[in-house]
Amino acid sequence: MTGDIIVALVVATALGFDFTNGFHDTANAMATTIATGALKPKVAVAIAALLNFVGAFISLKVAATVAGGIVDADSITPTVVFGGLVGAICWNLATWWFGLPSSSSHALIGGVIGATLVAAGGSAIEVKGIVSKVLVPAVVSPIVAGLIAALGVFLVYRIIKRFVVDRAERQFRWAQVASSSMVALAHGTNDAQKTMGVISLALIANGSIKGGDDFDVPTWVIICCATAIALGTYTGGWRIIKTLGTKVVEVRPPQGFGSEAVAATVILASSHVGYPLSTTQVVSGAVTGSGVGRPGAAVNWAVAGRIVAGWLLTLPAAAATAAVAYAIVDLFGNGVAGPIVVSIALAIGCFFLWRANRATNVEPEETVSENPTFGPAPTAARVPAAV
Amino acid sequence: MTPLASSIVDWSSLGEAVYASVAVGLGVLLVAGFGVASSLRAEDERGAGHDGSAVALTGVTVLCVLALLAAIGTGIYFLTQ
Repeated sequence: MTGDIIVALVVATALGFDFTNGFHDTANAMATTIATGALKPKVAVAIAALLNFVGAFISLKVAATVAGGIVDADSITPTVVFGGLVGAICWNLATWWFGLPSSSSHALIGGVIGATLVAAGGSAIEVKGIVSKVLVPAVVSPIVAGLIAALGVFLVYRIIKRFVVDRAERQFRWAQVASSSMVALAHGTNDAQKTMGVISLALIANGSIKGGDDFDVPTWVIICCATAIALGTYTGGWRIIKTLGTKVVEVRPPQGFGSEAVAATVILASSHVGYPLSTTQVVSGAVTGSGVGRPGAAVNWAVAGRIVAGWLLTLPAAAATAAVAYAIVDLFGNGVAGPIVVSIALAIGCFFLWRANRATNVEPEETVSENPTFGPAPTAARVPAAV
Repeated sequence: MTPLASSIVDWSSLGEAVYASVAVGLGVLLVAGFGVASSLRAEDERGAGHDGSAVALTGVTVLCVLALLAAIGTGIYFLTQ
């Protein structure tokens, strides 16, 4: 009975993480489309939400990867998973507050590692799995995406240079919408699976489902995760959308199309071979690369540097927060008191953050570029963003 | 160092992902670029009264659009596998 209550808390916390994953990563698919005015902000997040929901049902290959190979499965208990999720949620909320597009996937993996370290020691960490499935793709993917986007966008501008720039750029509107939609679909497939993987971990640890390499993700888990990530996406993480769409580089339609098309390609290719890739890092790398490739564009390297600093901190910060959360849970013994206390503390923290956000809210209109290619320039009062 | 890296990282899968990303990513962008260019040239040719050229260039545009749609379809197919 106690185990079931803890698993229920884990599932609720995991769905909370999935929700934060959605609004944290809305920017990945739609920041560039909103910035150029190709889609109105709220239409863009509605499309992204729908495609994230659909994407969650498409494949379960990455869920299997997250559930194994990062930490020793025998050392994992539902409270370890719970601690990991708390660490990931805290880091997601902190980076959202500062408008930083950091990786929800790495926050989740870091959280699980941190809680496992406290619970079972360093021997339970599978360093090989972390290096091969997390760190190497994390370094390679944004660089590869950035280089391809830079070269691709440069070549596109070479091809269209004989035409008036504005006229040619406007032709990319629907291509931009299509490529952003593909990223949203791939995001749903890639990221919702990670929460499915974590919930599966807790269910396996509790003996609710059978473990092993060929475990099946229960259907109710798939439906709940798809719904949570779609609702989170629809909420729209406007702070991060503003950073990625307007602060790294001024995005023009060929850039928006190029960066999203390249990001979709990289994400799909990695999903196909089972890598739990960070959509955020791939898109951020591609957007930055597209700025390098467009003649006359200026990348704001200070903002890009802050984003990379956030990436470097993600794994250790989420791990440290999760370790503290697990230690607090452990203070209360094996009962349900620990997870309940931490859940209440997390809920109170979220409430105060929500209230603070209302005071310094970033409105959807502020995420449109000052010189959008499509539609009128935004008229809402502009509030300086955190980054 | 190299044997250790080889045993930790599945370079084959990683390489497969990188090669596919480079080939398809660049391919999609180039096709889109040529599609837009041919579309604009078709408009210009039509305006200049060169209907034959305009039709040919529109055909190129249609082929480019079909190629992009095929890329989207292939992407969705890979997602489902």
